[in-house]
Amino acid sequence: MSTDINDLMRKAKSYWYEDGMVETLAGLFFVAVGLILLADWAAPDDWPWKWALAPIFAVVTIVWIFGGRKIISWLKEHITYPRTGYVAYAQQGSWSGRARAILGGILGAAISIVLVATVINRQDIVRLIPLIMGTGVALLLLRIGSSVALTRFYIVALWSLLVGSGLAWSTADMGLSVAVYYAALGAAVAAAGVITFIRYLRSPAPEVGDD
Amino acid sequence: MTEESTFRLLADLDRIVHEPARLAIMAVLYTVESADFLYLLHSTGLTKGNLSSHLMRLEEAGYVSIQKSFRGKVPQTLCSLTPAGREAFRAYRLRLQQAVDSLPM
Repeated sequence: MSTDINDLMRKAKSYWYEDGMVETLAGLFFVAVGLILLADWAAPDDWPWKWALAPIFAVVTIVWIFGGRKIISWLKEHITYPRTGYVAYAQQGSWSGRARAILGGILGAAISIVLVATVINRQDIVRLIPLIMGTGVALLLLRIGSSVALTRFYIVALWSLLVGSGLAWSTADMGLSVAVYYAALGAAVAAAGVITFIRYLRSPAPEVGDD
Repeated sequence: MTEESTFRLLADLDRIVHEPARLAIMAVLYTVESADFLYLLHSTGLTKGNLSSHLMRLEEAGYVSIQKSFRGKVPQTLCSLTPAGREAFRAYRLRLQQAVDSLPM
């Protein structure tokens, strides 16, 4: 029997992430976005299928926004809950919602500044887009990591910052930089999720039977 | 704090909560809104019989509510702390911390 109470509470708090499914799917989404943006950047203007990239991007985004949680719930119902049990969490407190609103506001303000800079042709600001994205995502991952005390979130946050910084200081075209950022972030997040899922499946599970 | 008051703090600890298995169960349930029997088995490492027995004790004390239902076609036993249970756990942690803090180094 586990007797470390703080460890028990920490694990209960982080159970939603124990199977790695959230990160695997989120990572795949970011990789898909990165590949679509990369295709858009790389394809010549006269490529006959270039027109399809925008609707594909829209479909992928809509599926993730409206279907992501449902897909994850379905996977957990069929894999996680029968294996290691079900947990329901209370509605998140107002601080968590405020934190997200503040972060969203900062990112929105940063994106607005960059868009204005693009319009008035300030390339020195536009090239900072990957850094702004990398920093914003890193802050979000740090917030999640600290609330569930999982080291891999800190590692991916650091990766996001490094990739964003590296791309901002590179001479790469902005379109290519953003595509590479999404793909690199997605690959790291998905890899973390897959490794976690494999470790979860290999860990012993309690005997299934009547309660 | 005197030795007598430290002893009093320890002696007054809630005996329902102050049992390693039940403390583990309450710690898990305190962190979540509810958890099923399988998750409690997974997280605490208790045997089925042991877990059942301690859950029954906690239910009798009014600290845990247990609901048997179905999740789809699968039977499920869902456990959650009652308001009294949450308060008992909070009070226990506070009292234990006070007792530990008062011990001489």
